[in-house]
Amino acid sequence: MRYVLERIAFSLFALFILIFITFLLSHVVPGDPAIAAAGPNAGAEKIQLVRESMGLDKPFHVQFLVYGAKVLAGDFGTSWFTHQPIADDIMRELPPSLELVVMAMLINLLISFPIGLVAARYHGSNFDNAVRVVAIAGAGVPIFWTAILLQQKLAADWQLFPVAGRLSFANRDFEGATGFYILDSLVQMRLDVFADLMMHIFLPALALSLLFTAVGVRITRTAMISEFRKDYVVMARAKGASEARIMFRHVFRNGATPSLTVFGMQFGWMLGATVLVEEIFGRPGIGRYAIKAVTQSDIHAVVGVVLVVGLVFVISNMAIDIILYAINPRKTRED
Amino acid sequence: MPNSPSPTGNAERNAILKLEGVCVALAASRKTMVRNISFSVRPGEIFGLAGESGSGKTLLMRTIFGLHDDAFVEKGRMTFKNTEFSSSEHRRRVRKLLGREIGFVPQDPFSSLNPTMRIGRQIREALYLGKGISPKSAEAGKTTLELLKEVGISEPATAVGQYPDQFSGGMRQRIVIAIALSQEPSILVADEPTTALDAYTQRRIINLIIERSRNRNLAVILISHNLELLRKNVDRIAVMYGGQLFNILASDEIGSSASHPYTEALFKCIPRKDMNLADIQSIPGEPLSAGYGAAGCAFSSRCGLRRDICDTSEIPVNASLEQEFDACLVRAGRRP
Repeated sequence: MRYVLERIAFSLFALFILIFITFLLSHVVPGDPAIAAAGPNAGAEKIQLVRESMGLDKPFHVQFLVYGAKVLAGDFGTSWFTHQPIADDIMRELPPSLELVVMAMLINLLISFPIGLVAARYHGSNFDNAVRVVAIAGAGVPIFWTAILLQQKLAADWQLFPVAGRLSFANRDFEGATGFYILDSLVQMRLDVFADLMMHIFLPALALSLLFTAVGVRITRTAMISEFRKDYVVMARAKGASEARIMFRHVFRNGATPSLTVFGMQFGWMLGATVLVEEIFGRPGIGRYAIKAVTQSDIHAVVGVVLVVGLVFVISNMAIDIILYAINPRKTRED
Repeated sequence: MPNSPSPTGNAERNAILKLEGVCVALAASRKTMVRNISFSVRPGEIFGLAGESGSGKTLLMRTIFGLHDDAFVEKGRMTFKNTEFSSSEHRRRVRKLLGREIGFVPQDPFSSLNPTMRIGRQIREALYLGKGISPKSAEAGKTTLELLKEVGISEPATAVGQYPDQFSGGMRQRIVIAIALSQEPSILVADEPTTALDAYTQRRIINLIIERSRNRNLAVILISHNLELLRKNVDRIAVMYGGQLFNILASDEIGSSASHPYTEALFKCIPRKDMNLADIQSIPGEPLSAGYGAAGCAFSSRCGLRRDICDTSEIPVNASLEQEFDACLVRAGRRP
């Protein structure tokens, strides 16, 4: 239990650093926010009033405390562009992005673990060589290119999948309690909507996952190769265990540790990379929101996005640390 | 004398394991590493396989019992309990015997147990695979406790819930042996089972294996680089060098005329109580690894008896599966 508390404390510290960095971010942006907020025709007095009302006349550390308190309370300010609270905007845009990332991660895991495991087992075989070549090539292909290619071929030319969007026009009025439509559609037993959502999410998720999958396969393969060399594999074979039993009951759990660490980090990276995929596939989401905010110099919205993506990154890493701890009997016991 | 040479016909019929002209090659390079190995092991016999590191003893054993992925039986024939295994399909067929007829104890007790699986589960898995006892049954639980007790684990009920890293090396090796014995094989191959352990623990582990062999008529192949350990504990010893089989002799005949010059040289390297430091010898030159490809005897460059014939003729092979065998080309000429 001590270890878990340590990881949580560590994550909170990381979160503090993150808040501090985003605070600096809004300070290093050129231009005086008070002048900008007061409008082009304001006089010096008016600007001073605005400055005081925004708290910008206070010392640096006081400003930071005020900012930190607001952020922790979920108040990221108001978007200069949508004129909505940024927190509300993000709460609306985050679920579709998280859905996309979870799907991409599922594809990643479903490919990386079995392929990495089998390539490691038949290390040096033609299959293994092919896997290595494809993985190296795959790790070098940019996500936006994969996305455009998949969209053009599978969606536009062959019409196997919808070209863009999150839902078909017919289902445009669908609403759910959580905003995670995949979940909502299942809760409401709207299987038609669920199928529609899956058709729409498949290509973007695939495009988002391939680069990460290439890395995942390589990491898994390397970790598993060193596991297969250990004597307990010989022992299991001598006991009469089938190759499948050796792979899944013995090697997999021991060799999964290094890969899991990487997958945990990939989760955060993927959320950052949704920008590319959402733009191409015209999906709502945090990535598209970020692009709009950046192009319109909506600094608070940008800061809000950075904070939330950072938060997801911190949480996913913490979760992986705790999972790794839970599956390691030695560490669990030593506590 | 339990091991006096017997007529070959008789020995052949009785043997549990026969190797005839077995060659082992590496899968990647197809290089032959071990050549023309022929010997037989009787049921209940404790058979030692000696040689320096790299002599090919572990490679040979792991390959003929289907445990090695990177090597294969290139030529020759293995017979196990009257079933013949020719070189094609060897691995696939022999693997079906693993866990039932053949038990194996790897060298390093620190890595031969799965670190993330409880001891009890590892033993129950062996019982399931070897004897079809359901891992969740009461029988499996009871047998597991009995096995652990038998190999000298003091608190079996606690041990079954523990992980390998909670045990010392000696304890782990006992557990590994318990796993191998749980399947009641007819032959147990122990690959340097005590090398990683201290002298006292070594003694106890070896005794455990010997006791089991005597009680249950279990044939044991004990692989070791330690000739002294083998001399004291096994019935017959086969000596390998550079991937060749040099010598098979009864363990009490070491140092007698039945010894190959290499066996003798190895024997002289063993320090004994009555020796001064200066008396302990070493073999000149560097040991040769398995895969010696040239004609003649692999040991010739280090051998005091070397003649021209050693580098030009092929060494004798134990084609008729004699119980005792000497591959020295020089002595062959002199023998009656």
